[in-house]
Amino acid sequence: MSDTFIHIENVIKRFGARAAVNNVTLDIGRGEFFSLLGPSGCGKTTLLRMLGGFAQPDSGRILIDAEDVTTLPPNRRPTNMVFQSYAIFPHLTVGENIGYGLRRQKLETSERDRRVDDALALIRLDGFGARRATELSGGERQRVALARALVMRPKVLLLDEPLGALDKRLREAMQVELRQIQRRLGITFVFVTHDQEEALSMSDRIGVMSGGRILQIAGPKMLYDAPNCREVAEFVGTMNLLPALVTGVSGGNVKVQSPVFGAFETVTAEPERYNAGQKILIALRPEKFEVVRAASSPHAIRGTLTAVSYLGDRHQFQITVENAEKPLLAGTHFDRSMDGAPFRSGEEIYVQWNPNEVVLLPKT
Amino acid sequence: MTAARGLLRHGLTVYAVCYLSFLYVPLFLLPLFSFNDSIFIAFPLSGFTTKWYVQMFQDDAMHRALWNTVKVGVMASLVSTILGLFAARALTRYAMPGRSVVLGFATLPLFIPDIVLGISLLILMTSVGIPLSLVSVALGHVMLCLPFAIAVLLSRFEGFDRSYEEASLDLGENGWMTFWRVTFPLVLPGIVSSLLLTFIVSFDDFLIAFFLSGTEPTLPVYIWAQLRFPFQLPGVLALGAAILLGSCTVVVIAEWIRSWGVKGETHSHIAGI
Ligand SMILES: Nc1ncnc2c1ncn2[C@@H]1O[C@H](COP(=O)(O)OP(=O)(O)O)[C@@H](O)[C@H]1O
Ligand SMILES: [Mg+2]
Repeated sequence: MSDTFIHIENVIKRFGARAAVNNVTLDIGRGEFFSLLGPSGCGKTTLLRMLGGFAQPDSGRILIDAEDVTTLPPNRRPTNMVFQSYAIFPHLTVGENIGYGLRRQKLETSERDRRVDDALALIRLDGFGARRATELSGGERQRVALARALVMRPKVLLLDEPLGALDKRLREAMQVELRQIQRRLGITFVFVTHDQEEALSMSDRIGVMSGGRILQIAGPKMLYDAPNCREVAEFVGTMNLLPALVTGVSGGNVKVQSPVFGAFETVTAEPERYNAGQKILIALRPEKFEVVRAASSPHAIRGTLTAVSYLGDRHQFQITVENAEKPLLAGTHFDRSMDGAPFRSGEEIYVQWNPNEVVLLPKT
Repeated sequence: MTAARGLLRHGLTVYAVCYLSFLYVPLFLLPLFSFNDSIFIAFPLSGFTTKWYVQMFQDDAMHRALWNTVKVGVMASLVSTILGLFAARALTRYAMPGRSVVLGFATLPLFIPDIVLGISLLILMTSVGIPLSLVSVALGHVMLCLPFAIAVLLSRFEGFDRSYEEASLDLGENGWMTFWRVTFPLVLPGIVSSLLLTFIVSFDDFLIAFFLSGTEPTLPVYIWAQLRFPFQLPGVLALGAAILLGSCTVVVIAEWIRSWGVKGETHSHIAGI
């Protein structure tokens, strides 16, 4: 993150007794593509609405470009919003929708028309200006909502699950396009989604929310490789989670004893979170396991292959091992071992792993 | 089994025919006799004439009564629709604690017999000292029309997506301009059908106008007075036929506007998923 552009400080918003947003502190950089990720009902929309001025925090403050906007109404903020329902005015044409906000500014008609045409070109709907808003498809409505907000040249664009109503192919195409538009215009995007793949593929950084709180703020790779708690590990991607015991801490190294993984030593960035005798969770992504017929590493677990599923771009194995409540999940691109024979369900195999790829999580 | 079903279907057809005749035959008699060349309302018909219509067009007292009714109707429909607009907006916009109570009181006049309403208003007007005139009739009609206006407008506001107004604010408009550029055009079909409906309700009312009009009768009161003179009867029939045609036209227009509004609504619902 370069310099702080949006500063959210101890923001709380209650509905009745429940806090929909519970003491969130968050900085977003200039020109950053920042995503708020979390399950439905975790407070993403409420936080976004406070950025846009549609709701006021009960306490805390919000700064945009060093200006305190906490109590400013939406029409006096340097933000624009792409609504989840798009809110395209049904009684206006596409051109009138996009030019809606420009009417207020004292622009020459020709300048206004030019900016509307530019916006239509940006979303590749040239010539749609005279179309009635009610004659648009879902994807077109989404683009018009985007253009209507961008034509205002906001400092910050707020997007509330803008791709949620689109089918998979259109959604993926729009993910790429949104990202390109954001790069080209250099506007700060705050993007709300409950789709972790979408957040991972588009964002510079992601804030994972749950129950009104921010659990972790990190770039996509960091979030995936080093989740900081169980909820993030479970929400982002697939994760094998197993109980373990800390047996010793020295420097950045932690000694761990696990019923399944045995005793091993690993590095951690935050050794101060652990001490000997502490019960923790260890986490490992399915693709970090290597499935083999003959163990070639000291870190190998014997197990029985109980299910093989084909996921299109890879295979997922379910492996039942001793002392584990649930089967381990292992993902691989190939369904066969080095000797060329495909793995079969029911076969005895080994999964090998690397201690330094194991993620430690405090037990909560 | 099939015979029984056939009989049932047959029975239903007969019922439908009887029902519709009961509803509409009296209405057909009105225009029929208005062209009949006799002051007696009886079969057989004696011949075709348009003289009752000519007589109607030349009746100055009738013209004045019609004009009175239109004035009252326009006042009552405008005032009740504007009041209904505020009420419907408040009822849908804010999560008021006593919402259902307010709604109940607002629509209660629908269930009070007009004669009770008429007498109460008469007592009120005379005790407060408002002279009986077309204004007092219009005031009574506002009370009569308001529940209809609220009912029509409420259904329009309930289907209204709040994010349209939020989008307008977001794009830099203030509250007042947002109302004119977004809210008003979107509820316009509701406003127009409320105006038409309340106008018809006011136009149609006899009892309240009977109690509250002073020396200036509205059309229904005038017609009622004319019925005492048999020779006036065919003229009243001609007038009735003309009113029938007029209200059918208004209802068709109102329905057309409503369906036009509903079409827009369906689209916005698709957008709202
Ligand atoms: N206007 C409101 N009145 C009452 N409760 C609300 C309101 N808006 C949101 N909530 C509640 O706040 C919580 C968070 O909602 P929201 O921010 O919409 O979550 P998300 O967008 O992450 O799905 C939910 O439990 C929701 O029911
Ligand atoms: Mg939401």
